[in-house]
Amino acid sequence: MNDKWHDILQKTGQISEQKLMDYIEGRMSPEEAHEVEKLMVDSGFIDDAVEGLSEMKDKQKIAVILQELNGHLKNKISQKTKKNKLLIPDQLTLTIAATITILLLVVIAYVIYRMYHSS
Amino acid sequence: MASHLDQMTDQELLQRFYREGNSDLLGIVLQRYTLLLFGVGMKYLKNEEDARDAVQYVFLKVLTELPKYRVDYFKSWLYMIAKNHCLMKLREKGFSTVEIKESLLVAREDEDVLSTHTEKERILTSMSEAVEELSSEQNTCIVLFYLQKKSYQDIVFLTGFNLLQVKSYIQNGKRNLKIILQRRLEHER
Repeated sequence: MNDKWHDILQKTGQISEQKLMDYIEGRMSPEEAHEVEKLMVDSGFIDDAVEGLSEMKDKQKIAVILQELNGHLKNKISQKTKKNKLLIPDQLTLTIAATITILLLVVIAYVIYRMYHSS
Repeated sequence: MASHLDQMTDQELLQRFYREGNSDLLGIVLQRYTLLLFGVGMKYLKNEEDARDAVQYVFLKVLTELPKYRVDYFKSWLYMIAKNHCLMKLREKGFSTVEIKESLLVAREDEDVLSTHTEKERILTSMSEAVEELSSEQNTCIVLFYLQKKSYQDIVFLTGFNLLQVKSYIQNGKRNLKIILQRRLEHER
């Protein structure tokens, strides 16, 4: 089989943060850089990101920004979860509410029954 | 538990998110893209603060929108939201931009039409001929990149083209090659 062109048909995948940073900071051998560039050719997302991150003058700052952004994301998710918990009652609350409603209905039915029979 | 989740693919985590409605799962997927999203923000907005805001906008949009409907190509969808948001910001500043459609992105991210083809061997055989149909610049860059496995920098050094030209010749060359091969396959049938 003529497989010298095999590389061009191979499906490329994801890239790790570490690899992306190594590429941007020029810490890769030409062979490793080539592997990242194959991902860039197939993905506009990775290609744009590499171009944008390369424009950062202080590359050390990227890690700090990343940490902050992920911190904000976690906060947003925990706020959302808390809000959902307030809106959606849990199983125990629902059981108590149902029991109280049934008891109330029984009491009301009893009162109506007594009133009807006493008159 | 966390390390087990870290091992899961985006697709697996998203399916579980749709089943359980647990936003933490969505958070794990999104964190995998924080750096890429920030990079996209930097490319278009050229400003750290604006790029940060863009990432936060995308996070919020995903957390709000994703529970409402099923997204099959998450990575493409995320890129589309980020890029369109940046383009909108640029338009607000008076730059003229063209919004991208999801279908265009899916085509680029999911460029596996030929590689899944049952006639893969035939494609590989006719590839050498197809490469000859490319312009000489595209031909040179494609051969150096895919056959000789050279990096962008090596190709810049060897050809005298600048980095942007090299990237463009490889991307456009690959796209043209697929068009040529598809045409040849259809012609042979």
